[in-house]
Amino acid sequence: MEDVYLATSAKLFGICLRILRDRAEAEEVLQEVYMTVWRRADSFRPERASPITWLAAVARNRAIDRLRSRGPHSRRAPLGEALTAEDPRPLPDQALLANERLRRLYTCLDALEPERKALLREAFFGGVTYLELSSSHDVPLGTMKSWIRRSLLRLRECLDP
Amino acid sequence: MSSRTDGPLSPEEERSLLAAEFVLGVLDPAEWEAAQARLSSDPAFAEEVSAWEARLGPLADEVPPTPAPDAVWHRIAARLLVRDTRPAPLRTRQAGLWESLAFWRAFAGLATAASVALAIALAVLPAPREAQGPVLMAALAPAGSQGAFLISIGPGDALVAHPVSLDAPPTRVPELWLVRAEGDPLSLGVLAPGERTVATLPPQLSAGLREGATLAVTLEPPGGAPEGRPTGPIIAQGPLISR
Repeated sequence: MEDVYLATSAKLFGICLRILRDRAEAEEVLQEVYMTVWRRADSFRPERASPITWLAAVARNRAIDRLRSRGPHSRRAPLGEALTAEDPRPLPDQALLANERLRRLYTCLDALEPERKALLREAFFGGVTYLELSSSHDVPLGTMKSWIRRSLLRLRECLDP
Repeated sequence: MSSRTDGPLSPEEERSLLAAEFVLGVLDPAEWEAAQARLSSDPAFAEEVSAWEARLGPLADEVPPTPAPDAVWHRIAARLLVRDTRPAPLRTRQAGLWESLAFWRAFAGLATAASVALAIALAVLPAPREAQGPVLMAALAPAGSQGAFLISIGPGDALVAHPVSLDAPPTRVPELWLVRAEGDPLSLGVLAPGERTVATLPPQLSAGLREGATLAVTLEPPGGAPEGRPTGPIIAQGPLISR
């Protein structure tokens, strides 16, 4: 288990840090992630996703859960910091080919309008709410919801034709 | 297929969208809590959430890994009562893990979490040095709580078996079997009870080994099952996967 921790904790800690933007809280959530993995071992479906994807999903879920329990006005870093519409895609094309799921996701994201794709990425990496998004982009809440929901439906149609 | 994004959504589509919003993280705190609770009460919703985690999840590969403090591991180990073999700073030693019995012994006592822990191990850890190249691997999880094994079968029909945990009386030895759809199970040999077994499988045995085949371990008299058919209880089993 210790070596599994060594093999996976850096990835999961990075995910928690990106969402929580607070090191101490990210450490607490990281611990909670491994405890959750332990307790909910029977919910892992190997046919659905790789173990790493599952671990990462648990990490995001716990980090966002912690974020939501903080309260609405307690974000430490300004919204939008490091979460611009730029596309920090560090993986070279060759590596993408090895990860079929990621390659297909990129293809389907690219099929969206650039602003919609940027919104989805901002939501995913930052764990921001509809309210925070509508506020930071200065659009009505209903409009933001509609944009994101439509984009998600289009994404699903593309990924599961 | 025409887009349905403009018309009214069916209940299934609404549920799928809610699952997507949940996975994306855009729900407000109250909606978030309700969706989190719904995971345990609504299996169809939980399935949708799983599906969206698989769709969106790969994006997380972009997040740069950040080494986590050792202190977090020590706290986890304490909570899980895992034997913390290195109270000193953790050192990465990816090479040679398969050879480390101490590493695999740490999985002992995992009970219900053994199968996922082993599945994670299979996915992230390098294959044993005897099995470089395409390998078949299996995590044999406890049928009761008597044993768990990690098996790899590599090029040249090299078999490596690790007893992750074994609770057997001294009058019994573990024997590895290939469970076939038709006919009796085929013995792959008796395993060393307290240490890893390295063997080369004869070609007539390795022919049936492919992804999806089931391996199992039973407890047999010393020397193995007397007539080549299992006599003892199955203590662990699992499917072969290819790596």
